[in-house]
Amino acid sequence: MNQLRLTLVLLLIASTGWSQGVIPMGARSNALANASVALEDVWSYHHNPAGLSDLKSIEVGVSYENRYLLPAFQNQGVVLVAPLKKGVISVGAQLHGYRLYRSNRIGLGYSMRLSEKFSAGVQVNYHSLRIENYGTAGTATGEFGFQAKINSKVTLGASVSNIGRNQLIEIQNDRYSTYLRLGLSYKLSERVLTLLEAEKEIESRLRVKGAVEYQLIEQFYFRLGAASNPVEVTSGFGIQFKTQWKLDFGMGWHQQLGISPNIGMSYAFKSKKNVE
Amino acid sequence: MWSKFVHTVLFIGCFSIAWSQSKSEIVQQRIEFISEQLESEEVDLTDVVQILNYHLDKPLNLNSATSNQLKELGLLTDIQINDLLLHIKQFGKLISIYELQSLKYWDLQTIQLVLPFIRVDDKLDQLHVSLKEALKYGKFEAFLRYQTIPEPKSGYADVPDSIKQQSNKYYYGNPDRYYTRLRYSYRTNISIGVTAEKDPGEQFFRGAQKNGFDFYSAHAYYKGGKYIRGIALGDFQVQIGQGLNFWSGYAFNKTADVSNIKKNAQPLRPYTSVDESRFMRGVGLDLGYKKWGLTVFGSHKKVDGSVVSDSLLDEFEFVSSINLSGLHRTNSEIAKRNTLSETIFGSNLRYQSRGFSAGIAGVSQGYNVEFSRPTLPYNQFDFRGKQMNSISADYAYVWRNINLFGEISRSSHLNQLAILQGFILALDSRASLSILYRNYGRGYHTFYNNAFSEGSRTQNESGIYFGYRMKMGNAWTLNTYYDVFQYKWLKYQIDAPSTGHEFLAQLSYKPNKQLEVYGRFRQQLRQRNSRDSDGTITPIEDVFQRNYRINLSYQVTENVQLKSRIEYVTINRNSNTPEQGMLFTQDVVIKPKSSPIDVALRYALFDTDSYDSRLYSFESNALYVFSVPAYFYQGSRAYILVRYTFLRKFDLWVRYGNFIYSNRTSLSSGPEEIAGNRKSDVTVQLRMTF
Repeated sequence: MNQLRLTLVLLLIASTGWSQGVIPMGARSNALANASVALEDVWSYHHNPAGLSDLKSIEVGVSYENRYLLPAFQNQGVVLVAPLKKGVISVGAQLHGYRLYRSNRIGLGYSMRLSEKFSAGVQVNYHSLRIENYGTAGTATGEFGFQAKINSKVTLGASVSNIGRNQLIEIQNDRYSTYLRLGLSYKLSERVLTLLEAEKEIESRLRVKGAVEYQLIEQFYFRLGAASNPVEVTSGFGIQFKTQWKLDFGMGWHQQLGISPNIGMSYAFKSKKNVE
Repeated sequence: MWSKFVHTVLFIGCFSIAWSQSKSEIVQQRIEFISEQLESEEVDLTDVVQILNYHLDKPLNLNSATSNQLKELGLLTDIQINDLLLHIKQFGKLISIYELQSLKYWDLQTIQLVLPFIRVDDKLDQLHVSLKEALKYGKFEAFLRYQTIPEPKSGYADVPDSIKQQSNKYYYGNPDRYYTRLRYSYRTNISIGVTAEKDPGEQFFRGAQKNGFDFYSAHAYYKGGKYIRGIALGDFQVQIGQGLNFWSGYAFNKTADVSNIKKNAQPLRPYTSVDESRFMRGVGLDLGYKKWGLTVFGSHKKVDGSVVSDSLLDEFEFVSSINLSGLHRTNSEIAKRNTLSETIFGSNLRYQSRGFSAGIAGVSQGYNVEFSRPTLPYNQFDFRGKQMNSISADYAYVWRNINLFGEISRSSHLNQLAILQGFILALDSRASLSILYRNYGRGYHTFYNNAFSEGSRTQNESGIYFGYRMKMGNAWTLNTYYDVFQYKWLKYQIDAPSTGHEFLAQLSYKPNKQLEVYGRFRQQLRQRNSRDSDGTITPIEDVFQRNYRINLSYQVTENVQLKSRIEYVTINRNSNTPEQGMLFTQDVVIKPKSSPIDVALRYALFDTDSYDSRLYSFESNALYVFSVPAYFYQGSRAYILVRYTFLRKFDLWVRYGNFIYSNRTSLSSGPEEIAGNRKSDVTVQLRMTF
């Protein structure tokens, strides 16, 4: 709770900012308009570290997204998650850009279930930015998130990225973006999951996102999401093979800029705990 | 076992409470629900009211109802209808109402909604109609209505005839509206009727209206034969597919009721409204053989329009604009009366099985005079000419919890195409998702269409709509939609291709039959010409509108209901200062069971910066009179509506209402101008049923 208060105090410091640094990764999340702060799967590494706290086996995931079909805007993300005796440790990376411009992020996280209803996670990431002929710059940032199960159907999630509002370089007050996300997930039934989230980046306007995930038939999921500021509509499908392999693919759509296809895959290793 | 017992008891309880409401109240609530979604002063729900009133008296037997009959109610989605029909097919006829609970896509709310209009029993409805029976058991209904605005408008000023004849600012007739309707009907099978209306400003048995009323309409309609499924003579309506090609009646598009984006076309229907332009006049025939149906219709009627004589060739005339208002009050309006004739004929071939339907249609439409207008950039692709054809194909497919539907239509004008494709998914009995994609060519045109669109016409638009409806627990419902659209070409007052979106979210809380609270948020982004235009090319700018509403409805006692609403709107655009508007309404409805008198009262306060920031609100009025006026500027509104039922056959409605504006010395403009700050309205209607 103290940590949360500290975070909120830090966020109150207003200054100029520059949006970059955190890219929402994970094809499942992308298909759900990234309203994923209250979700719990391997991609929570990039959205809310607390979402990893209940994973029971070693899991690995890769994801790829191409924003607006432009060769310069390609995103790749990886994550590896391993449960420990107490808590869950995770390693993840995001790669963005192309030959002339590369912005990467790699980090380490730790998440734990603190009580029956409450879980939290922290992360430290190292960002590096490389612009051809201009050199490279790097900085470290901290991320934090928590999730609370309000009842059997509703989960509340919140996360902050770049708590310290770290700068890219001292000159010009160039800071990596700090995001505050607050959201809900509502499990209407076994097959229907609804998500709602509000996201605020310090420099940008409030972004409200909503999404629905529907299990069409066993192993097959359909996803639909929408977000505001900018107006974006997303959709996608997910296939789950034998509870270990998951394949997700989908597409985001922006009214003026066009389509952003994405695809991702994750694999959960069978562990001694799983075999029960 | 115990929970099942409790459930049944609760269900019986709901069943009995539903019936304790008076019948008219049930239909009224439904009309209110539909009207609240609409933001237009011209709302015509006559057909909806008629169907629902009919089924209140003669509940539809679910065991023998056809798919079409269930669709006509307008209360069930296709998936729910299919669910019921499939259940009956698999398990035999329903034994009791309670069996509805076992249907997968019928939740308790749906059941409560349709309950007053349905029944479940073994008796088969008679298929054939004998003339003797029709005469014996038919119903005759007569309406007489008088409406007026007491305050004098400048168009009615007492000026000498010589001035009136030279000007377009004066009305020849008196400010009253007279309306009468006589109708004989037998169930939904036979309807014969006459309707006549005189609008305010039109004369009566004089001048341009020598035959009495300005508008007459008559129809004779029969439905229900085995091969001749329907026949209509006189004035009627035709509806095809999803309305891209031909739809001559009223239709709902975007509403907060997201599961109703699919239209259900009624091939042939009698026409009983007073819209003086959107109907067919001639003959319509609906034939059928087993699962096939064929509708053929022909219409020839006069239309109002400005006919211009070509300056060089005296004989050659063309029409520069079509007038749809039906008003013939001033010299110019009278001059436009019935100046051209419109001829339409078309046919629609349909195949319908339980879960699948498909159709193709062709319509030929034309005027007797060439339609031409000066070419401006925005109307460059609009229809010009004398005649055009359109062909279309539509389908609808229901499989389990998925409903796919679509239509494609091609207009011979510039060979333009219009496409619509929709998808409704019932995720659960409590949640459903709808998606609708449309793409209408920039020059696409047919004379009578009414397809799903953001704009007022089925033209020059492409967009995708997502709707989601979810019930959480027993009391909470969420309805939300997101519509993202583009206009590929210019539009009137939009000098560039533009984009926009609309978002609505409505959350309602209804813990019991007495109380309902809902909150609605709506956001619209549209683009318009900037008002700061300093040069040759006017840039377009974003116009951002947000509406917030909270509505509460509370049944205080069995006889008294209170309704309160607060609505707030903000409009932001770069070339203007931000505008806002506020409306607060308080309604009291008193319907004592033992008394033949019902009273509805309203007091409202409003304060909007301009006409742009106006707010609409549904008002109670006499049966078949639909009032959804716009509230703008500053002031108060009050009305009282009294309904008196006497001698079992007569109903009398009397309504008096007024707007009192502050800070205004005159209202409206032109011939409609009223000096002062007050505008009242009076409506009196008598209904006789035999």
